[in-house]
Amino acid sequence: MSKRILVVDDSQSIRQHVRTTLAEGGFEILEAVDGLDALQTLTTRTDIDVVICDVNMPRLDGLGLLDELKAKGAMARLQVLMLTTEGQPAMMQRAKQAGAKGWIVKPFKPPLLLAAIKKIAGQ
Amino acid sequence: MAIADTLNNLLFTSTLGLFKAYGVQRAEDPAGAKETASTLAAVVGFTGAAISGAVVLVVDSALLRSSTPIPETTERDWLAELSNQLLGRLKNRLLAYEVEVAALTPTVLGSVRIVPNGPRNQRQGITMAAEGKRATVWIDYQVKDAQRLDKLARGDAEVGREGDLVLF
Repeated sequence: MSKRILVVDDSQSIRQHVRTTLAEGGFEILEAVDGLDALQTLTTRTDIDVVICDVNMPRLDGLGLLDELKAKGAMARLQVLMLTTEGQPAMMQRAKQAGAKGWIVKPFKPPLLLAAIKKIAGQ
Repeated sequence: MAIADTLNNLLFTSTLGLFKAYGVQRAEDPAGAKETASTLAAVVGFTGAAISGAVVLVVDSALLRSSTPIPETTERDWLAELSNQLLGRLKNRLLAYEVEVAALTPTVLGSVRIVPNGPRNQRQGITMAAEGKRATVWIDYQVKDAQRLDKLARGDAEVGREGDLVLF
């Protein structure tokens, strides 16, 4: 069964770019336009394996989403990779402490993202 | 090196690096070129304890289309994302100078002819060109705490790289 990946980014361009990049991995891709949209999806669906998440987004940002997921105990079943323009060590540390598995600073290299997701998803 | 020189150098290398990452190589040095004919521009602000301001990115439609990895996306959305990533690159380079800023949401402007206009900080557009297509970028800023910008004024820091994966 293919792994389900939720791509969380307020940029349609990035969501499409990630979707195209991961297409050859055979993943099922879902999208969320910000952290709150992602939280609603992840609260109602328990069949999502990996989350690729931006940091700076309206309504609820990526680090806020991690905090919410951790508080709900959802991080135990999710593999989260942050994909963002941010490179601040303090932010990376906060994501790590919340349970994220990795961090990529945009712009991403498609082969690297695909390899990272395969590794994180255990595929 | 003055703060303005370092900022302009960081902005220029950030712009070149960003377009290179999306397959657009700088092909010429348009000395004296100060503007780009365009129908789209993006403005993205930044703010921090030491400095605040905005970066403006004006791009030819042809160069914008050349740079997008997703042909079906809209020019407006892609330019917003490009400007967001440009400021991200600048932010990450400023971190090496111990200058921390937060980015604001990009605004995309259409159907306008935008050129840099002085005199604040002697703002000048920096133009890069590839295959006859141009992008002009400039930064407008206000120093809030000059003491925090010592390292930036010296212009001597190593900067990090985008695109690398860090696994926790």
